[in-house]
Amino acid sequence: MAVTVRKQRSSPASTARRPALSVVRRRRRWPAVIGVVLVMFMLVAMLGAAVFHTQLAQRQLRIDDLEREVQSERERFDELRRDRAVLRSPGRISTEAEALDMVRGETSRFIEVDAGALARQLAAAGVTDDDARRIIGESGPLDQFRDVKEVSAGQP
Amino acid sequence: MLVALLGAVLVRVAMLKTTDAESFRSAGAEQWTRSTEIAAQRGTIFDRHGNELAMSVPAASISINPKLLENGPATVQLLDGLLDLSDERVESLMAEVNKPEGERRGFVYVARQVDADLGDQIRGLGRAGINVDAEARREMPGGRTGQTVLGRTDIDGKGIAGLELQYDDLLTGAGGQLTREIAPGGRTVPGSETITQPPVPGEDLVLTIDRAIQFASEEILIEQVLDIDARGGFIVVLDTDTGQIMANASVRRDDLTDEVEVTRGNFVVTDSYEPGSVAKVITVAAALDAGVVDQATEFEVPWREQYYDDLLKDSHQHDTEMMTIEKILVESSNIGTIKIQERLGRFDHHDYMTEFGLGQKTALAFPGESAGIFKDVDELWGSERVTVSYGQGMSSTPLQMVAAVNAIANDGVYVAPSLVRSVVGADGTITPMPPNETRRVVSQEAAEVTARMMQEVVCNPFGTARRAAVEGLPIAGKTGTAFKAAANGTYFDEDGDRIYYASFAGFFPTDDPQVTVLVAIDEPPARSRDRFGGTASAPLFAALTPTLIHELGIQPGDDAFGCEG
Repeated sequence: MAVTVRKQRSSPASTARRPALSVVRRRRRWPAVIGVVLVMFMLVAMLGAAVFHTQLAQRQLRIDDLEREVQSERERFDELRRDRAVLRSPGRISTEAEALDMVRGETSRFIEVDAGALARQLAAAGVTDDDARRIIGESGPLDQFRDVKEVSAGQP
Repeated sequence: MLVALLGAVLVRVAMLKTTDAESFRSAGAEQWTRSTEIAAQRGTIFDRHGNELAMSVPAASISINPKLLENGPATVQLLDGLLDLSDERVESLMAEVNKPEGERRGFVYVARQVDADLGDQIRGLGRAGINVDAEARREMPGGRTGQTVLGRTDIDGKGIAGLELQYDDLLTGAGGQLTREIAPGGRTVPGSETITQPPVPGEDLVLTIDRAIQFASEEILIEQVLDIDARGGFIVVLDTDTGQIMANASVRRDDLTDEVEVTRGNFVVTDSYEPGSVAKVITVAAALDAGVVDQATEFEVPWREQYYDDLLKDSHQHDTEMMTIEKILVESSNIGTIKIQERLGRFDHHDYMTEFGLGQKTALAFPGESAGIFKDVDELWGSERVTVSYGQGMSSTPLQMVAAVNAIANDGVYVAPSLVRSVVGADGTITPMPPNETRRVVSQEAAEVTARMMQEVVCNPFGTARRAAVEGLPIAGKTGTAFKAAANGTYFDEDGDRIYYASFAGFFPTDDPQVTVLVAIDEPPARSRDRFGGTASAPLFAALTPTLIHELGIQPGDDAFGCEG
């Protein structure tokens, strides 16, 4: 069954209770956006700075490690030079020779060696690579020392 | 408001990073960092072939801070176990760590210049109050070989004697700076050490010394001095052409232990002796150069003659006889040499002696070098005026005398002796030293004639240097058996015996000398036949010759022969 609903008319009493309303203007949002952007930017920047500094510190640690390694290798080079010099010293060789019942030579004789025989002997001794030949045969302790100095000149 | 706050934070961060950064950094560094100086790597000293004679190797110094030690006595015992300290050292360290807290020092050395590996081991313990610092230790890989000229450094690596002193500025370089962070408790934060100023290493020296010849010279000397019970001896080997010193050996018997050792002092250049008859070669060469005598000139020579207040004699009695200048030299006649000097004139003779380098220091500029004693001609009095002709009444260092004889070997040209050949820079480049000073003192002809006479000294049956002869090798030389002044101002010791200085100076091959050698024995026993230059020193010359031939590649010409020819 249909029910008729009558619209109630506003009563003078209810009109009197209605608050005064006005149209609210839409607020501008861009200052907030800018503020948020700035904050985000700062956060990112600070984070970036922290990451950058961390990277810097890590790289510096690596550099320090490398410098220590270089220094350590230089010290090892000096120790090996010293050890080699001790092994090659006339005093040590003389002592070792005497232990083998060898005696100091009292005379010297010069013997002519046939050039061809010498060449055959060298060939029979085998071929060494260029670096080994240079280091063993052609360069002495001073030359090797100078090579290292040349490479490390001016470096800490 | 938030923006303003963030802005303020930004500004503060910026200030901390810029204007205030340095002050905070410095304050922090001052609190937690320490700076120490790092010594520069001291230069190496090489021999002429590039073999290391003296070099610095890594080492460590161990120290403690008694104020920070948790258990002082235990720490000292631990270090004693690792370092094998002497009892006195342990005692003194215990006294330091057991002091009342307020009286303890903040730094006490435990040991210096320990092996770097051992230092690393101690550092690895990580004990508070124990400090391990890097330092260098100076070593001579060849042992005592060459220590006579090398000298030494003090514990801080500064040269205090010999070439280490003479070239200290060049060898030292410039120090750097090391910064490290200190943790609470005083320990160094591992990995915090940073070189804030790198050190500049010292330059290196390449000497003229040949390590093998130096060693052989020292060994031969030690054997001889022990054998004949002498006080000491010297050997100097010069490259005839260049004056470069290839060996500079000095040995002496220790008064307390009686052992004969290579000396730390270079008495070859610092001590002077009356050279004796070796100086006769200068008188002969000078007279030949001046043209007042020639090979055929003869003198009537008695075995003794009065000069001023003294009756001077030859070494042995003989009849008055006519002697050529060669015979005078071969038989080493004192009176005959005086006759030659008289013919030359003592003023001219004095000038020649000066030209040969006597009475003045050499160009070596070695620390403590002596000029010898060679009075001005006007200051010579009495028999000194004539005895200088045969090397008495004056004194010279062994180096001066060998350089003088070398002038005869070098065709009459005196060449200043040298010890340093070149310098190696920080980048490895070699800078040679300037060439030695040379000057002609006698003509080539006079030198050659004198050299031939000196060969007769070695080969002639009446020659005094027969024991210097080497088969197949033409050798020229002259012996000297001089009286040495005693501490009491006479030529006699407290037992009334004479004190001798026996020497031999020679060169070979005679026709084209490559090397000049002086051998001298100091205070051979007065009553033995080993007191003469011909018996004490000449044999050592012969003994050294194989080493010289081998090391220097001296090959006599095909038609060369020794005394046997």
